[in-house]
Amino acid sequence: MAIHSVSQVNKFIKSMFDRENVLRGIMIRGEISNFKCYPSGHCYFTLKDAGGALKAVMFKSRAQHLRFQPVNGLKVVASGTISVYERDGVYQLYVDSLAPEGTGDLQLAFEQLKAKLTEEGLFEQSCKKPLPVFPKRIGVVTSLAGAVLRDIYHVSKHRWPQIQLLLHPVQVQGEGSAEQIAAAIEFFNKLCPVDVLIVGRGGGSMEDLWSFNEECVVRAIYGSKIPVISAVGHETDFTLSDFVADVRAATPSNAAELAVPDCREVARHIQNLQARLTSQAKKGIESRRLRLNACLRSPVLASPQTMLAARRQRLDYVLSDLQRLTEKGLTTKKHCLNLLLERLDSMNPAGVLRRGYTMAEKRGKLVTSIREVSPQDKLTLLLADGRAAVEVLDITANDKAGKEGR
Amino acid sequence: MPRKKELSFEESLEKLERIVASMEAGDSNLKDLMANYSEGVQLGNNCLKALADAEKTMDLLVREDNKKLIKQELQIEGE
Repeated sequence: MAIHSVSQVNKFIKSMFDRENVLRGIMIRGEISNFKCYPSGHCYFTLKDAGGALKAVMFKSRAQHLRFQPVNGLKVVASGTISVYERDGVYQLYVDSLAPEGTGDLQLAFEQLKAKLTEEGLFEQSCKKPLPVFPKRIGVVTSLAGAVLRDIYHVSKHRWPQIQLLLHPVQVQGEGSAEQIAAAIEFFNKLCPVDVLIVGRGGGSMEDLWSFNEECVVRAIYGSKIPVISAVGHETDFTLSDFVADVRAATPSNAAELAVPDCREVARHIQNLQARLTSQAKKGIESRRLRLNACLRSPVLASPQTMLAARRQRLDYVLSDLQRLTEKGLTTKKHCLNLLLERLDSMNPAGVLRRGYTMAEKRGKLVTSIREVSPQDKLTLLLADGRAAVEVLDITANDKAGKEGR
Repeated sequence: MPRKKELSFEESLEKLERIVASMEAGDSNLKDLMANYSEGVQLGNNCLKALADAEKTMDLLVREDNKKLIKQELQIEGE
């Protein structure tokens, strides 16, 4: 019996495997476990089901095309070839392609990246920037050919004829398109300032729209300091670019509507403001006019004669009072005067003479003291009914009378 | 009145909106009222004039070349 080396046996077994057509291009359903991806880019894992396990390897050249991230527990269909790894003496599946079971790989990739970026906070509402109200320059990231640019052009120029469009043309699908889109967004931020960016493409399959689900595009939109409107596919298509954009437009035309105000609406707004302005000014004047009229209608200003008449009447009253009082006063005075006159009359010397008294005059001057006369002086006596010439015989002073010197 | 710095369309519109709001809030004196009114009318007319002034702008095709901005006129298919 011949003796064989391990290498010979493994080689022989490998050749047996490799001859077997069934093992070539085989598709195997199973669940991923022990998944490991090395820095080299090669991935190693085990496919298993309830009854068994199968080692699997996916080299970098294949693994780099995976959209989704294989994780333990994921049910997949792997296709490839089963062969023997002679060094370890194990057979394993060399995976050409891997697809999640039950859902598309793009769908899964979408869900996985969405979950990761949500966790990171890229889709937070608080990160959204407001769009400028009156943009002057609009940056557009899409392909030069196709309806998207035309739609944006027509709608934006119709709404605001002075608007300026700046297109950075990019491929919107296929190899390298995501990197181009991301670079174009960065280009506008670094080199070519615009007021708002529209990033998008027309409708297509999930595969066609895929670039807008790529992490580099999503991160470029997130990192943009210029507000970004996403316009990817149709209204029913949602990409991660739509989630991360500041505003999501249903279509490219809608993006232009969101970005650019309608000059007719703005004109109406201005006219409305002017109408309100005029109405406020009119109201302001009208209210003052009313106040002024109210003042002018007050009797003071309306008919000053009335006010004068009242005063004139009052003056009349006062004057007549004055006259009345004056007259009354005169009467009183006249009465007083009469009394006085009566009293005066009572003191008339003639009256005294009539009561029997006599006055003496010396040379026409009334004599009131004995010192004015001497014996032998001739005096005239005045009596009520006449006068008598007399001569002084003797003079006798009353007691004290001389001393008082009157 | 000294000539003020030319206001942009946005600034004019914002100012007009502020003036209308303040007039509607009420109670300025007659002098201010009339000054606001004539300024507001002027601002509105400027805005409307700017809107009507359909000066054509050139659209651009832009790209980066060696960290430099390259511009050329944008020709849109079928326009």
